Amino acid sequence: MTIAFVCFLFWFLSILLETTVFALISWFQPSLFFLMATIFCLHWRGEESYFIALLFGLTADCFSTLPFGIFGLTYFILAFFMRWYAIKIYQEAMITLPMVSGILVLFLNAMVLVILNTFFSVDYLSSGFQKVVFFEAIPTAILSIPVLKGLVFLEKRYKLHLSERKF
Amino acid sequence: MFRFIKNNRLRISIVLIFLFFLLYLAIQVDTRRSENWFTATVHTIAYPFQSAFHFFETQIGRAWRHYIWLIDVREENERLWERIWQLEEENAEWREIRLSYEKLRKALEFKEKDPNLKLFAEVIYELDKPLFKILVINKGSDEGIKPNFAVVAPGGIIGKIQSVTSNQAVVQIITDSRSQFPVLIQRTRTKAMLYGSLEGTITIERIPRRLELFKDDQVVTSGLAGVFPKGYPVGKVDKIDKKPFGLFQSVTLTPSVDLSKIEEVAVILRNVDSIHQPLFTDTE
Repeated sequence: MTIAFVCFLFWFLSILLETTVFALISWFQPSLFFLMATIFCLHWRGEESYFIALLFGLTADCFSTLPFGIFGLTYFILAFFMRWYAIKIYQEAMITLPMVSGILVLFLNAMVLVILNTFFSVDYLSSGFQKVVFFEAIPTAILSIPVLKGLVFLEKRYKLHLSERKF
Repeated sequence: MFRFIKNNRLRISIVLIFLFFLLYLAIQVDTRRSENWFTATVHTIAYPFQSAFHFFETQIGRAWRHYIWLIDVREENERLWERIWQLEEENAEWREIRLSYEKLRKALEFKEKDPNLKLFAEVIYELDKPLFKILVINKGSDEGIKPNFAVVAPGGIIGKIQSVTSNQAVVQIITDSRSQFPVLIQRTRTKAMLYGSLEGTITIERIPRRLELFKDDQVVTSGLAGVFPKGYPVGKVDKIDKKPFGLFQSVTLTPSVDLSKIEEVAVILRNVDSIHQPLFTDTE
């Protein structure tokens, strides 16, 4: 139950922050939904990460004008990669997390573009790369540390041991 | 079968989700983005908090714009006030120049119209005490002014020179309590003596009772005392004091010149009708 509460809390906070505070700052547009999904995938590494990522993806779809489900599907697909990466390679550290989350944001955008291009013949590939890097990937990387700190804090408070599992 | 599903429920659900979203996206290829209950639910949950945030953001923004920014606004306001004061000063200066021009034009007209030899002077200051009122002008004996010379304005008589120094002269105006000189009621050609008073009015006493006077009758200088040239406007009859008994009546006059607004005067140096200096002046 506490796991669901923590997930809901992060989900709710991401909605609030994404649609209120960060909506006011045009040059600081972190992909908070994806960051939450990334943190859960990298930190908890369980199979529930797929569904958490799907939830955040669908939430991102709610605040997007792209065809509904495109973020849900992308987050869902990327969750497999992230979980595999978390189990096999990733070693949690305050230095690597921002880099990984930033690079994953770039992956996410690339994947969305590929799906858009595949399904909807939308050619976005030529534009907006710099904007993605500076306004989305870097802010997401910056915010990854406080989000992880917050998750760790809640884990301690509610005595969650999901991150201590062996896979 | 059930065991297979149970053992592989995660994989099956993943595949189903994957397929579902692929199909869902495929459906949207030729149609508009389809809205659904999930989006509606998320928006409904988020709405109160978003509107609350919007409210506070608006209030904070308003406070910022109306109070914090007022720091700059105040500086700007001070700058603009300084500019306004500067412009007002300039404007007053220009207005003063225009008024001076008007006054000089009138003085010139007066000079051309009136044949007497005159000297124009500016009032430097005036003393308005309870018992007397004097004007001090910026011309004196160096310019030929002597005591008892008449001081006039385009509108009429102002007074006479009371004392004079080399550079300035004191004018006793006609409303002064010690001022008196002969006048002529223009319509009836009646000669009378005009007095100033402590109240700052000018009156004519002892006019024969049988004489019928009217309000606004013009009173001019008679020229008899040798101080004021004949025919200068002094004032108009304002109030007639005619008692039911007695031999005389008296009238109060309204001066022809507004004596409270004198800035420039003309001192008559020589009367063309008289080759003499004013009768009682201290001539060398």
